Amino acid sequence: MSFRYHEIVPVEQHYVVNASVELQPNPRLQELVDGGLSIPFVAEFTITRSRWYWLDETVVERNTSFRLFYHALTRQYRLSIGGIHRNFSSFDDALRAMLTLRNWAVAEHGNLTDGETYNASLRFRLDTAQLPKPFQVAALGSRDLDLTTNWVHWNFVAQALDPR
Amino acid sequence: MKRLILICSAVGTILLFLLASAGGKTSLFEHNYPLLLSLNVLLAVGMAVLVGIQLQTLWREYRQRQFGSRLKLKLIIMFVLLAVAPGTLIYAVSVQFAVRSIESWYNLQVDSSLESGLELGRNALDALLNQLGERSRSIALELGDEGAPSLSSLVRVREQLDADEVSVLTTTGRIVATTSDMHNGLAPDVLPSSQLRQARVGRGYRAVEGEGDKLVMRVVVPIASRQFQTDPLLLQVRVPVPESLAQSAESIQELHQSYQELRLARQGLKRIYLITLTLALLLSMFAAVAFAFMFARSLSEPLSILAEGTQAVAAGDLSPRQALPSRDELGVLTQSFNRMTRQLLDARAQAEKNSAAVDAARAYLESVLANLSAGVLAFTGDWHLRAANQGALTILTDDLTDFESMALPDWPVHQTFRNAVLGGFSDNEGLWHKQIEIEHGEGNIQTLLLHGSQLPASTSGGYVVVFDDITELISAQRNAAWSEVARRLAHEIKNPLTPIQLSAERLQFKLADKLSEDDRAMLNRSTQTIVNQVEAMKNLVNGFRDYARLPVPKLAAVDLNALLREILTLYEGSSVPVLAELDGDLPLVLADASQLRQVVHNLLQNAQDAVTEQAAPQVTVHTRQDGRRVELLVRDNGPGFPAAILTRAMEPYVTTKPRGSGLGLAIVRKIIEEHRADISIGNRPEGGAEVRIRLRLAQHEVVVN
Repeated sequence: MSFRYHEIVPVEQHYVVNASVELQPNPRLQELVDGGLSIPFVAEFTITRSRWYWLDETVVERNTSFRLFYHALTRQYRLSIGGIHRNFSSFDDALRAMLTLRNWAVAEHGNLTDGETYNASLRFRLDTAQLPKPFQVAALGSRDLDLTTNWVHWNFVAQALDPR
Repeated sequence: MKRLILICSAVGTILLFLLASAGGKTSLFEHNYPLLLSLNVLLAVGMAVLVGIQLQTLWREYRQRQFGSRLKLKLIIMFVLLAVAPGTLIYAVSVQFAVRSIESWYNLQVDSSLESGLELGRNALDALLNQLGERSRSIALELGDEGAPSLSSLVRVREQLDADEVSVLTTTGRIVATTSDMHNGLAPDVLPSSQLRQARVGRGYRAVEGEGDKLVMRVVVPIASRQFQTDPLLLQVRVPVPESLAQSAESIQELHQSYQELRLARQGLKRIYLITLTLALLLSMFAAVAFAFMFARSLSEPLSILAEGTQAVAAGDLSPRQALPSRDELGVLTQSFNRMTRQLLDARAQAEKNSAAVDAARAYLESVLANLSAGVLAFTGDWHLRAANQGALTILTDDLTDFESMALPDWPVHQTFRNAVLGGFSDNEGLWHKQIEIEHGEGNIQTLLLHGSQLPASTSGGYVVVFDDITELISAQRNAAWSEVARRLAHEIKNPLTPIQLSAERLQFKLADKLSEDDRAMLNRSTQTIVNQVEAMKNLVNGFRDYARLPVPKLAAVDLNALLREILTLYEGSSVPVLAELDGDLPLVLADASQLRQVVHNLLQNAQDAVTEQAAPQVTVHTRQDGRRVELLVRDNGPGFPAAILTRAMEPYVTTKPRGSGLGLAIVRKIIEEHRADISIGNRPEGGAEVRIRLRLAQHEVVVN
């Protein structure tokens, strides 16, 4: 897995993250979902500010959990993001929806100082700790379930939108 | 090491317990299972390393044949067998059991019935959905007839269908009108445009959607309007599935899902069981081996202590060993061993003390014996020499070397002594005394007094001979006897001599005129002879008297050199010259000057007499200091003392001169003895006699007084 693109942009009140994750076709994942397993994913985002005299200061730390599972009764794929459910008739649609982060509010304007340079880090991964134990063990050495992007780091200058 | 093993075992037990309890769903470690697993594996590896180190240590000890290592190895093998065999059996059974039971959870029947239940639910929902769809279609037809649908008609439709929401949409998704049961003011949820397009044809879009935890049916159908052909409108109806049906269907769905999940998890579950059991086996086995080491060590340690102690005792080291404080048999054993060595130590110390005491007593006895002037010889029962003191060696003038190895009857020398001793013991029972004389050739006779006694049989028997050299004693007795004889003779013989002389002279005086010339001559001759002989006899008797009546010397400090020079002036004109070699730095001696003068005269006279027949006669007088004595030596180059009389030369009437009285040396000796000085006579190796007198110093005497 890797990020196709990632950005942090200021909108009205917040800074939002837009990103897209590229995932090679993974039949094993679909097999597990079709089999009835609820697959947990997590997106992790932090903003740090470097300090020359001490460890970097963590300004913002956000996690969002995703769950992808098959609802056999309605024959639909469901994606839970936080407390919100979305239904998809095909696995690929659901997966695509999950892998596309859009307008993820990660910080308010007040959190960041204008003009300051911050370091943003983003990662998207299969949350193995939330898997049932047998799958945790199975995931230990499995390439199909080694679903995690590397941390991507980039610097950005905080610049809130001009209220005008 | 011990503590490490204990800690590892405790930690291992806790981790294993956690690992086993993590099988439950609600465990604290459900989400950290891999961490827990890796901790366990790490611990197992750590314990394997521990066991490896111990094994290596043991192997090295075994290779070095260290004491106790064999026992330790045997014990460890036993312990390990005891622990590993049942453990492995239980492991094998558990693994089989777990894997088989996991397999048995899944069977087709459950699978298919769950599938059927799910299908049932779907069918029920589908029936409801179709019913709703048909009704919505007919309503849409009615709405189409009315033309533009009004909000009131939509509310009517909503109440008619008992729907949550009824909306009129354009095909692009724009909301024309909507009414909702929920008063949240939110815009109604709109399908994606692709599905909206699908809804325009045929029977429209029908689906059951999950919304949160409840099910909602959504039907989107076209409103067939004759007036607006170009832009047909869509009717969206969302009706919740009745509560009871929804719940049942949802529970079937959930059960199905869990079952499916379990089915998928089957392989992983088997692996978990296998890993957990294997880890449990490994940890318990390693712990068992580690503990086996500990136990083996604690069992073999007392033995090592004992072995060390035994070797030390064998090497003579009786110092106390470290005792085990334990109260079991091994502890008691080491303690008893210590007690034993302590007793041995005490016994040895006692023995050493006793032997030291015995040695001291023997040394004392030996020194007493050694300092005894009497000779002591001890023989075994079969006449082998057992001990001889210094006195015996001196008297016999023999070292008696190697005499221990031969019996007394086989002695090649000291035959008189031997025969006397043998005879004494064979002739007498118990104590006996005997006096013997041993001839050392040419009349040199040594007189010994022997005392023999038989040792009691209780002290292993044997014989003891004690003997004294009484030659000197006899000589002294003889001297005393001679003195007495001399005194008597002088007294008895001297008295008649004067009348004899006077009578002879009177005879000559009276008869001389009456006789013829011849007779008168004869008378004169005879009378002269008588007078001469009487005179000679008088001299003889005076000599005896002098010897017998030697006065007690009046000792005083005397300058020996001055005395000698004075005497030597008298010999200046004599036929034999006397040489003086005097020590110039001579201290004063303690002597009676007149008696010392007589001694020197006697000695010089003897020396001159001895050298008269020599071609180059020579007499020398030496003085010198010898320690705390002053030595006076008179030497000549004459024939020396004959060996036969050497020992008796100083006894009275022992003489080599045809006309000597034999009193000269006797008087000398008597004077010297009265002075408490020493005299010795001997022959010089280069020929000639030598008389040595050692006088005491005057100064020394003064200091003593």
